[in-house]
Amino acid sequence: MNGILTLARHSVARSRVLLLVLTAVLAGFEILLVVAAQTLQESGTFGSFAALVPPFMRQVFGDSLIVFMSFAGVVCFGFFHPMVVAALAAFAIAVATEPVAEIESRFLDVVLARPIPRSTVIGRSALLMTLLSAGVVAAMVAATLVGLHALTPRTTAAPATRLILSLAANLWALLFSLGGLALAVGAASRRRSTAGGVVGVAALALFFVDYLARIWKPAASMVWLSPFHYYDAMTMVMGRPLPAGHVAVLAGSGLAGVVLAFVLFSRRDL
Amino acid sequence: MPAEPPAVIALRDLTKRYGRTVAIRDLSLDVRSGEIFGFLGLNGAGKTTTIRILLDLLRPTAGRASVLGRDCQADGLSVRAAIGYLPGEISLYQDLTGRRVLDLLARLSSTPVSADYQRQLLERFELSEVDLGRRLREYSTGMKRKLGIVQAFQADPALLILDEPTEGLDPLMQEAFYELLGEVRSRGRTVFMSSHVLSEVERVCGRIAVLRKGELAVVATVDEIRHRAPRRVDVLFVADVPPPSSFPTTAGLEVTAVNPRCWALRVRGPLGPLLARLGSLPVLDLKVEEPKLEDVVIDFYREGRS
Repeated sequence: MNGILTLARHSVARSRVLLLVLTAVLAGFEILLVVAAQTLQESGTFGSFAALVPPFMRQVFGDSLIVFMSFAGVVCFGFFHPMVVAALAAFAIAVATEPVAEIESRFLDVVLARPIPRSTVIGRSALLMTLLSAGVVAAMVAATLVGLHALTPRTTAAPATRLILSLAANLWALLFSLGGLALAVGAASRRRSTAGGVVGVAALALFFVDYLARIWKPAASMVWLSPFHYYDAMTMVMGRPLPAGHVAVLAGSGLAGVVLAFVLFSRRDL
Repeated sequence: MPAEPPAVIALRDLTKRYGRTVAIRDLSLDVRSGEIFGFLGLNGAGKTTTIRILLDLLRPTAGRASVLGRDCQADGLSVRAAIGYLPGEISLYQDLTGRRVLDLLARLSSTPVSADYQRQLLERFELSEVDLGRRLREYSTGMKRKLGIVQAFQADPALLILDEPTEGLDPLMQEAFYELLGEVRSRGRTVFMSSHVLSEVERVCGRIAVLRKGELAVVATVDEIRHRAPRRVDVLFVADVPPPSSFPTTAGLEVTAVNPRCWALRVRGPLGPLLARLGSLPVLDLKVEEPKLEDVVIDFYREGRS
């Protein structure tokens, strides 16, 4: 455990600038969304937006589009905005592929020449991938709650804290799933760019599979493969409780990735 | 007859293949306690592969490597607890300071690092606290090498595995390094080092192994290997003498250049036959040059190439 903590401290110290910038940007974005929602709410714009939605868009997205065009919808959008999800996924992938970067740079040669088990390296990255992504999401939650507390119009009902927490938990589970996949791919790769690229492209493809499945039936048969299928934020915004099954699938696949990473890394040549 | 010291490193039929490429084949070797052992070979001969198997960074395809009687793969943690390692190219994050590197690597060692010993090493290699406070991107190649040496030695391990240890060091620091090697050997530590600098190997190593295309070409003491090479003998005469027509047929003697008052010869074995032949000639002087390790080792390398 001492080795894991020593390496984890070292990794956090090295990536602290990226971590702080990402946290500040995403927390700031949450505040910005609350400000935007407040402005739209007070100017009565939400109602006119809904009237402008073309029928085919309603057909594709259903009632969720109307829900999105509300104070709660805009506030919660920060937890499923594609750019936010992409930034968080890239961060999780970057943290999870640190072992392969350390192989590539040969930094691990001097680390593993000491009595440090290989599992320590993967354990460190699994721990950081889990905790740092949770930390950034927690900062987004905190920023949202602070923003809501300060800026919610008196006549408007703020989204429930439980909803915010449910979105955050589901988002974190999605990141854990992608991070687990990246950890496993990284544990078997020789280059970080290859591992990150493979997982990044796979994530993008799976993201589109999830969207495609909504409008193209053949894609629906594959949608279960997409981790994004298990993060249906709009239905939660519409009032559905956090789907425990979805979280379990995401957490389980992430955990499988972590276990696979331990096995692959323990057997490979470095 | 005193018993041989126990083997600190024992390689038995060690083989590593990458697909069809054989990096090392059936390598068997013992490195004994308290010796400085030179591991030589051209680039790609398999030196680094062997070292990485000892550190369990690579897994052998066949055979066994052990350190202090423990298997490097099955019991890797306890093996590595006894090793200090200096890689050929030390790769450390450029944004770290020298001090942070030493502290990080010290925390990862199982043996506590003595602050006193670390300070002695830093002083020996002229790394000041100001130097240690700088980031590695500001370090020269030589400074990085010195930092690498300090991190390898700082836990005072029983076995030091050093890959091209003096690469990039200036002559004064090379001297400091050789002194350090002498000291650790006198304290019973074992050193296993690869090097391309044959004069350095000749100076510091007791025994050497030459690796050629992944196979062991020779293992012997430096003296044994050196004496396989012919001595160069220059014979100077006070007056002109005829060319030595009978010499080339004499066993162990080879004439390489002939002048009326000087012959250059290569002599294998005792000088007696040469001296007997010279007895009737007006010899002014004899210059005998001891054979160099380089002469033999380079021959080994060439044989491997041909």
